[in-house]
Amino acid sequence: MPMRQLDKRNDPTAQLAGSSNRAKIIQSMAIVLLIAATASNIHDLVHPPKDAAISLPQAAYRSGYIAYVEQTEIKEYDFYIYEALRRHFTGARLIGFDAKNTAFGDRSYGGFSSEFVISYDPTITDDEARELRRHEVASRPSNGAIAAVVIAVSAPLEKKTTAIVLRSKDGTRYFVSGGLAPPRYSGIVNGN
Amino acid sequence: MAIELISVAFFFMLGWLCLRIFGPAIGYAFIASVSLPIGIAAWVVSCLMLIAVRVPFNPVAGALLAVTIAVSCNLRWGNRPERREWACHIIAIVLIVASAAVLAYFEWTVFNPDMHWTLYMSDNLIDHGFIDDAMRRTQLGADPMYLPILSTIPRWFGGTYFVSFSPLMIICTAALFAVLGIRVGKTSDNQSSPLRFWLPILGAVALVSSGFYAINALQTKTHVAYALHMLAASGALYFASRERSTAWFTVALMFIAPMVVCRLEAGVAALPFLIVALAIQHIPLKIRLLGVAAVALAWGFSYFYLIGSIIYLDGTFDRGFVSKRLLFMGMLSAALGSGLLLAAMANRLGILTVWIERLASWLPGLMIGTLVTLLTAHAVIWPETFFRSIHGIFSTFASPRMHGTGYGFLTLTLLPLSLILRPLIPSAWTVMVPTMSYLAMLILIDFHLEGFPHWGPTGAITRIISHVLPVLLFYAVLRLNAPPAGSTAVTARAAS
Repeated sequence: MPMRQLDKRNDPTAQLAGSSNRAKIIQSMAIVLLIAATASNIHDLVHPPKDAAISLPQAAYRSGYIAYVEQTEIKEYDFYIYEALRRHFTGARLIGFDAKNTAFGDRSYGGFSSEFVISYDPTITDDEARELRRHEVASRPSNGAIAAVVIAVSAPLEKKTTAIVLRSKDGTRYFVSGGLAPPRYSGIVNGN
Repeated sequence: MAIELISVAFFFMLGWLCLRIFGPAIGYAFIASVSLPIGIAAWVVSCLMLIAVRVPFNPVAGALLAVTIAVSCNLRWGNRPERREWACHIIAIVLIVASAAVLAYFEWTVFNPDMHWTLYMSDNLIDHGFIDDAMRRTQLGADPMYLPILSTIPRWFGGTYFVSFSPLMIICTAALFAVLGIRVGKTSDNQSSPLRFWLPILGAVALVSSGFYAINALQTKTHVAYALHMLAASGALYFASRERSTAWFTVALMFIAPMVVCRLEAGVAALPFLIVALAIQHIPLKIRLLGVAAVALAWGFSYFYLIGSIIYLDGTFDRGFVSKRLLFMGMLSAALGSGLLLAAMANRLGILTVWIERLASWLPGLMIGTLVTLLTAHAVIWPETFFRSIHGIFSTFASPRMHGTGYGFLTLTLLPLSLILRPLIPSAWTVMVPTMSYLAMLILIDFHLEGFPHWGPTGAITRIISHVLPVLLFYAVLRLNAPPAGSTAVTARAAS
């Protein structure tokens, strides 16, 4: 073996330089791999396969939550109503407004601590609606498809433990306390 | 949106306050990259402490407690901020609040169906001021409290949920990845090489552009925060060992401790981090024992509290059959903490010091050996379920449907490249051991808690594996970027 090579093998500085060069070569290879992987990743995200199991969400412009709730099935739909009710009727007993609306009665669903659901579809007259509107306050999640009217907490709530969902002819829903429900619903309010 | 931006700015400032006493040792870039997540964690833990002592829940009270603790620590141990520190953090806070504004406007997150439960828990806390019976009955033992507490801020002010949380965490993870990778390169003998600078930056870009990671991280859940805590803890443990730094060690514990409020399985899944922390021999034994004991006891207390809160309603505890075993297993960390306290006392009295030191250094090996034995036993006794579980992992990263192929290819090429072609890197085990243990535990947890492999697009385990992706890629970058054993620059830095 030539003397120069032997010298280089025994010289720590040369070894370090060689090691450094090898490290640079490996790092360069890694950088090429990273760039290739990034390009592939971006391509996959921009052009996902047709049968993609998961996909990147689209920007929603602040409507994603409402759109999500509106598109989902009955259980999430109930959640929307729960959203409207929760602040005003905490701990209330909810009486459902249509036959499908039974998810509140599912004990695994965390609606109210003492909810009780019966299938019922009460409607109210224009006069009753007008009376209820005297007590209404803006409901935070009431925008979107559901026009919700909730009763101000300061309103008289003699039977606070029962909430009832009513519906007018134009489809507006009224979430009212048992105490403010029109008298002919007293049977429902009392748990019949 | 305004309240979200104010919250982000507050959390950033709080995180900065919490970490700045370590500033000279750990670097301002690191602090700036993790101030937001550590601020959120500090606030969440403060709120939980108040709830645990029956103080009615109030976000402001939690904030006051966290700020009081952080300011007290700064008054005791902190210095006046340097001009460079101010500049670094002002730039970072402007960037992060601007990002939050854009992200909150575009609402670029996945609204996971589990979020209903999270918002329900938030509402319950706001309405009742404490954890009421309905929440105990349904959710407390099944969902961690991190996100419900965080979501109380938008709920309190009439919003829906913390829209910018997940994307902001992804940005912080990318920044942290780059900062850690560059620091790894800087400790080498070849500081001027641009390759050492670009490698971690490109690694961060490759990570966050990986569809599997990005999509899972964008779900409004705690996955992305947990992944960030894992990455920060791994990096901090590596530097604690490499630079023989107690500051890095403490920072690692600060990231490990809140994991338990992010994920209920953390009491088991994050245990390898504590084991590794115990085994770093460059840190004084007393500090290791007391530090790890404090975290383990805090974990144990949180699991005892959870179990105590739900146990008397056991008959109606119908959603938590998976988590109940996890809670009981998590309680074992209290035993670990007590054992470590006893060891610390023995060490103080000069009894068994050599044996304690030796046992601590053996623990990672014992843990890996135990896990390998358990995996082998499972493969032999229940081969069908075991190999279906393994198949589930590989399918996730092989199928283009899951967007994991890019990451899988990258890891499969980078890891061998770094392992075979690069020489031994001192202290790299502090990153590798928790990663491998996490993967092994994932299989075991999946096996025992679900009873069948729970992979696939909607599987929880599929999302959970996204936690380990940043750490695994960081390990590859670490091996490629770090100087080999015996490097003069590193030795000099460590000695200093």
